[in-house]
Amino acid sequence: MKLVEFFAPDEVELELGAEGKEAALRELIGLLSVNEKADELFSLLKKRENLGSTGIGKGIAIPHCRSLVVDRLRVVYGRKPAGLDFEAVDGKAVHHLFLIVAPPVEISNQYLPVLGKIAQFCKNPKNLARLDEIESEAEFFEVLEQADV
Amino acid sequence: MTGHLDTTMERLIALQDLLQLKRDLEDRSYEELGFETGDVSAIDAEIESLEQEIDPAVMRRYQAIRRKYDRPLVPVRRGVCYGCFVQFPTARLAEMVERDAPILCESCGRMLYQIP
Repeated sequence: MKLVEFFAPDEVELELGAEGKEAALRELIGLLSVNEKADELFSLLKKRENLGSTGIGKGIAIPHCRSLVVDRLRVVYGRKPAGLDFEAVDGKAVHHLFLIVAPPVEISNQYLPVLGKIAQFCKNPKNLARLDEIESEAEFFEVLEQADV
Repeated sequence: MTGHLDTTMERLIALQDLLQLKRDLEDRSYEELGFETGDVSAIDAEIESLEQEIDPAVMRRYQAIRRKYDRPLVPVRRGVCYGCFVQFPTARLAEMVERDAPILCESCGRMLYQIP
């Protein structure tokens, strides 16, 4: 499957309101609509972040975990044009956030491959430059489609 | 850190999520993606603490199932156990909501967790 196929229009937010790491995680989780399970998910993502930031540098963060609170692999994108402090490995502000949550048992075992696809997508500076410029969710899907990852 | 977990099922879910997190962090293909993982053993303390919060009888059962399966707790969805993919009697699903104790799959013996 191509990366674009893992996203849904209501799981893209081009103007995150969050100013810090925890608030950003909560806002991204909000896009998943897991309701009362949001705290469990937040707690697990925090534990993962405590081991080492998933802010991988160059303005990108890819928080991720597996959890029983979802029944299929979910991917969310959030953009913060002004940047936010995600304690990234290079100490720079993060502008692009991809949240990945997968169930522990996946028949197609997509979790690590999707993590890899997002990392690959983000390695191309042209893709990030385009994400900086998009003004709608539809354009986000166009960028992913054209990236052909 | 786990004080917000009120029920046995919530604790079991959190425990298994942590065990899965540890497995993923130790996976070689994960390491190759280049994420920082720090000291993975820090998760062990969290796991131990959570285990102590779970009823000992339930914990013994969980560990016994774990000797057979990596994931002793699996979702049941649309009446199907996601461990063995065998239909689970719908009449028993209601019990899962009423009692704060895991129900076992009659086919594979895994603990079941209901996803709406």
